[in-house]
Amino acid sequence: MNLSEIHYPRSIQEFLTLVDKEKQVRIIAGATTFGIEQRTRYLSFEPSIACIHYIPELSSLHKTERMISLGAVCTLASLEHIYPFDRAQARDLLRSIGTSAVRELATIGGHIMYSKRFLALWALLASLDAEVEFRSPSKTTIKNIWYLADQDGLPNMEQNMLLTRVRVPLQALDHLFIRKIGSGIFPEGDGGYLVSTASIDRRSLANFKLVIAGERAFRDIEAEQKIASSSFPLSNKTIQSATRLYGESLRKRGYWNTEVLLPLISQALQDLQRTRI
Amino acid sequence: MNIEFTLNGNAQKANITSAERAVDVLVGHFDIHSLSANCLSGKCGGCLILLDGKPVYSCIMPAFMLRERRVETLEAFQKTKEFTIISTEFQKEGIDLCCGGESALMLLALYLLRKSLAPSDEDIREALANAYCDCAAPEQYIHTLRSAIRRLDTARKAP
Repeated sequence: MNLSEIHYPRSIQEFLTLVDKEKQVRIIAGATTFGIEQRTRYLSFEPSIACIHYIPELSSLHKTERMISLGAVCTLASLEHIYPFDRAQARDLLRSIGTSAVRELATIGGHIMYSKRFLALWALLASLDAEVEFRSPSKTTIKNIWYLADQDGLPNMEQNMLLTRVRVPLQALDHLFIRKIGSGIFPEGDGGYLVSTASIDRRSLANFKLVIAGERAFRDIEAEQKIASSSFPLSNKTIQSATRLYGESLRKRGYWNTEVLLPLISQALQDLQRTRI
Repeated sequence: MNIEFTLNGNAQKANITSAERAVDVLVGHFDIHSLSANCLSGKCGGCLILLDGKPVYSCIMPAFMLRERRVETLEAFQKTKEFTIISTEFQKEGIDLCCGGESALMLLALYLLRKSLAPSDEDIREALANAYCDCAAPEQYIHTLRSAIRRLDTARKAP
């Protein structure tokens, strides 16, 4: 049993001063991942922990004309009625995470920053081009959530930086396709999610994205562009050709079971084909 | 370290370590025996509390997260008129709640009642998923809770 020194910063500035002084501080928001993963009676953390739950700026939620901005310690339960979780499929995905008694504790920041794998909401947020904002004593960084995956598709979380906000651009979600792959996601299991999203403007597609995330993350920008540049509704030929592209790309990267995923990708594209405005 | 929080309406202080789970502090330091830490993974519901009015599992929550929060357990709810009405309704329906599930099911009923006097079936099922208890089937729980709400409403309107 390790005992840690617990800090309760009251502002981002206070947190940054602490990090500057202590260098190695474990950030704790909802702490559910620790509570569930550690099956022993006593919990173990790093020698110094910062509980960021008490920073008011991190629990605020703003909506503008262009985006939803979520503070990193917003609980998963608090997201249920806001975009994109106001859509039935996305809400079902959110509700697949534990039960409401877990979601009242778990935070969006902790969910995104889990370093061992990509958790349930990651593929959806990536397909919506969500941005993440990080703060360190010396800088503020804003990046597309996709860049939390490295070249091999593995989680590549920022070290010693505080995730402060998650921004989800608002867009017409004319097509939303979500499928679970494999078994469990957390704390063990080989599962993941395939999510595809698109906006449709008359006869053209905009913002088509298809993301797969679990132990690794996958996306093929070339295939997305090919689909987005096709006329809408998609022809069967376009679907076949795009599915072939995805197949080649998956085999090349070699970390997913291509034979299992291709029928799902094909289903996603057929669902897109059937979408009516 | 010392933390302060509110337990069943009373301000409390506790000397805790980073290693303790909230459920262990509530049971060990404050004799909250309606709680049990069986699974330590947020599944069984034996450790369910209302934290700032919302149901959470205290077994997956470090004790240091209790700081400045408001905790409610069955011990306080048992002293209220609402509890008497709800438990009478459960008895009438022949639902004999086991000791492991009673605390969670009653606190969930309290949470639902505070949220709305007309909770939807979906809301009730969603809340019910937090307790692992075979004493009451979901449909029976929904029916009983609705009867209890009607009785509560009548009781509140009575002079």
